[in-house]
Amino acid sequence: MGDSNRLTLVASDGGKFVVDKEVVQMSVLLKNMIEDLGETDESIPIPNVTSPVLTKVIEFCENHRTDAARTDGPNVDGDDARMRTAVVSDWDRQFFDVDQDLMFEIIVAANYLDIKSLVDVGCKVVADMIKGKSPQEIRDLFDIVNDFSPEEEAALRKENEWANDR
Amino acid sequence: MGLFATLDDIRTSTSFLLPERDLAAFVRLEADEVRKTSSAKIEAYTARIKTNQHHIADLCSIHNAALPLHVELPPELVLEIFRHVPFASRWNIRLLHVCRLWRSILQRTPEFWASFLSHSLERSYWRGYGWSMDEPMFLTSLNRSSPLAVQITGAERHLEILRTVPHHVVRLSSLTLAIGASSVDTLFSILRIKLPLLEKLVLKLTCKASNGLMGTEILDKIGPWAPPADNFPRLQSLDVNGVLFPTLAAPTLKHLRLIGCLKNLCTSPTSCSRTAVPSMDALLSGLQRCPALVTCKLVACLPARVTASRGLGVHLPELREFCIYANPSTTRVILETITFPPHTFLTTSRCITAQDPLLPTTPIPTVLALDTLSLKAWNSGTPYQRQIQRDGTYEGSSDERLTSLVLDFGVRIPVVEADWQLILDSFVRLASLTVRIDSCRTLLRVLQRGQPPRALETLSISCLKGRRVQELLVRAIEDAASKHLRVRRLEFRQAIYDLHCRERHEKKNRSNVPMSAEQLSRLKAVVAAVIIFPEVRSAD
Repeated sequence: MGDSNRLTLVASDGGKFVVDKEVVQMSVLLKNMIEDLGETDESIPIPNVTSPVLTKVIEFCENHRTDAARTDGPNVDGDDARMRTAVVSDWDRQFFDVDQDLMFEIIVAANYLDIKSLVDVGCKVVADMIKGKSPQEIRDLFDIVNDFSPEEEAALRKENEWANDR
Repeated sequence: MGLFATLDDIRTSTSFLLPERDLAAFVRLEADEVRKTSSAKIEAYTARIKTNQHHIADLCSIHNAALPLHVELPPELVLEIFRHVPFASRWNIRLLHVCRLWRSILQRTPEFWASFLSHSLERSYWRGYGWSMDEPMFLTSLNRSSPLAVQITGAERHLEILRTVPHHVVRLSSLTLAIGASSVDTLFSILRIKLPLLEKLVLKLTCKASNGLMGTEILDKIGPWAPPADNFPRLQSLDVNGVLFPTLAAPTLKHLRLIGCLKNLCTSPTSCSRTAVPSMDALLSGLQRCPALVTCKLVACLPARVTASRGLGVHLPELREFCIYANPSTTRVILETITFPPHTFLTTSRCITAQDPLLPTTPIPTVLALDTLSLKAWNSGTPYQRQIQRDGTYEGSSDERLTSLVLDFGVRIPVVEADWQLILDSFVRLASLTVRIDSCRTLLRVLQRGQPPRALETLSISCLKGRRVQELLVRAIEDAASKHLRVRRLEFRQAIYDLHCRERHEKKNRSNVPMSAEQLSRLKAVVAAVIIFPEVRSAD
C-alpha cells in the first residue's frame, strides 16, 4: 500500500504527478472521484489535460490549499458574490504571466476539473487585460481581426457614438 | 460614329486599368449609351466589391474562430471573462464591437443587457444627461434582457415607451422615474399592470413641467383606484411623493420614504404642498396598511397644518428606523399617533429658534418609551438667543427608558452649558451619548463639573473645533471616573461630517492638534476602549 494521503494523477500525455489528496480536493471533480474510489492505489487519469497544464494547475492548488478550508461549505451568496470577491493576488498575476495558449489551457483545465477559484482568477486576469481598452486594442491583444462588414460597421458606429456620449 | 470610334480612343481617356472587354463595350456607342453602359458596369463592380467585402469578413471570422482564445475557451468561458469586466458600464458596449463572435455571445446574454440597461439609464439619470439612449437601443436592450427582471430609471419618455410594451413591463423589478404631474395618467396605466417582480418603486413628481396641476388635481387623476393587494406582491421599497400615498401603500412594504415637492422640481417660490400627503388621515390609513415597515422616512411631505387624528393609532411592530422632518406641531402629532417599538431609532430634525426649543416642551410618551433618540438641529439663519430651553419638563420623568441619544448639531450651532445640563438631567438612564457639534468645550465642562448620567457607558464626540480641547476631555473623563461614572467606551473625533453636502465628506480643521500619547494613556487608565481620531502624536 502507498501513502494513503497521496495519489497519482496521470496527464493526457502520460505524465504522472504524485500529489496530496488535500491539494487535489480543491477540484470538485477529483474530490468526488476520490470519494467514489475510496482507499485505492489506482492512479487517476486526467485525459483532457496535458502535463505542462497539469503542472500549473497543481502549482496553483498547492499555493491556495489553505484557501480551500476558508471557502469550504455551501456558497450561500451565489456566483455573483463569488465573482465580486475574486481577488487576484500578486502571486496569481505572476502565475498567469505565461503565453496566451497556456493561459487559456489552464482556465479550460480548471473548468474541466471544477476548480472554481482558478477559473475565477483566470477569467479575472483576462478581464483585466480587456478592461478600459478600445475594440482595436482588444483585437491587437488577442490577434483578432475585425470581421464586421461595412453595413455592420455602420451600426457599430451608431452604438459607439452613444457609448462616447458622456 | 459614336463617342469612341476605336479602342485607342478610349485608352487615351482612361488610365488603362479597366480590362479590355470592359473597354470594348464602349466602342461606337453614342454618349447616352456610354452613360448607361458605364452605370451598369459601376453597379456590377459595386456589387462585386460588396460581395468580396462580405467574403473578406467571413474569412476574418474563420481566422478569429481559430485563435487560441476561441479554440481553447468555449463560449461559456468567454462569457465568464466578460462577467468579470463587469457589465455595469456602458463603456462595455464596446465589447460588442470587437468581433462577430463576441457580439453574438453578448447578444444572446440577457444578463449583459439587463445590467447594461439598468446601469446606463441610472447613470444618465443621476448625472442629468436626460435621454441619451435612443428609443431603438432602449427597446433592443429590453428585448435582449428578456426573461430577466429589469431595473428602469428614467423620465416621461421612458414611461411612454414602457406603456407600449406591457410584456416587458411585467419584468420590472425596480422603477425609478421623475415625471411631471401630467404623466400621472400614463404612470397609473402602467401600475395597473400586475408587476409580480417589482421590489422597488421610486417616483418623483414635479409640478414644474406640469400644466399647473395642483395637488387636488393630481389626486383627481389618480382617482379612487388603488392597486389590488396582489398587484405588487414583492414591493418592498417605496420612495414617492406624499400625494401618491396611501394609494401605493402595500402590505409587503418594508421601506417607505415620502417626500414633498423638491425645490428643483417645483414652481412655487415658497413651500408647496401640491405633492404632499393629502391629509393626516390619509397618511395614517396608509401606514396602517403597511404593518411590515422596517424603515419609514417622512421628509417635508405633510400638509402645513395637521390636526390630531380621530382615534387613528398606528402600530408598526417591525419598525427599526423612523425619521420625520416636519414643523414642530406636525412632528408632535405624528409622534403622538404612532406607537414605536422600543428599539426604533427615531430621528427628528428641528430648526431651533427661541420659540421652538430642541426638546419638546412637554414629553411625548411614545418618544420616552424608546431606546434611542436622534435629534438633528440646524439654525434658521436668524439670530437666536437660546438654542435649548430649560423647561424642566423632562426632569422627574423617571419612567422613561431612553438609553441612547444622538445629537447632531452639525456646525454653527452653539450649545450653552445650561442646555447640556438639561439634556443630561432629562435622560437619567442614558447609556450612550453621541454628539456631533462644532465645539464640545461646554459639554466637557458640564461633564467635569456636574453629575453625568450614572448609566453612561459610551460617549462619542465628533467636533470640528478640537484645538487644545484634549486636556479638558481627559480631565472631564478623569473627574467623572472619580465620581464612579463607568464610561467603558470613548470615541473622540476631531472631524465632523458635513451634512449639507450630497456626498458626505468629512470636514477637518487643519489647526487641530492630535492628542498626545501622555493624554491617551491617562484616558486608557480609566476607560477600557478609547478610539481617537486623528491618531495620537508620538511626542509632545
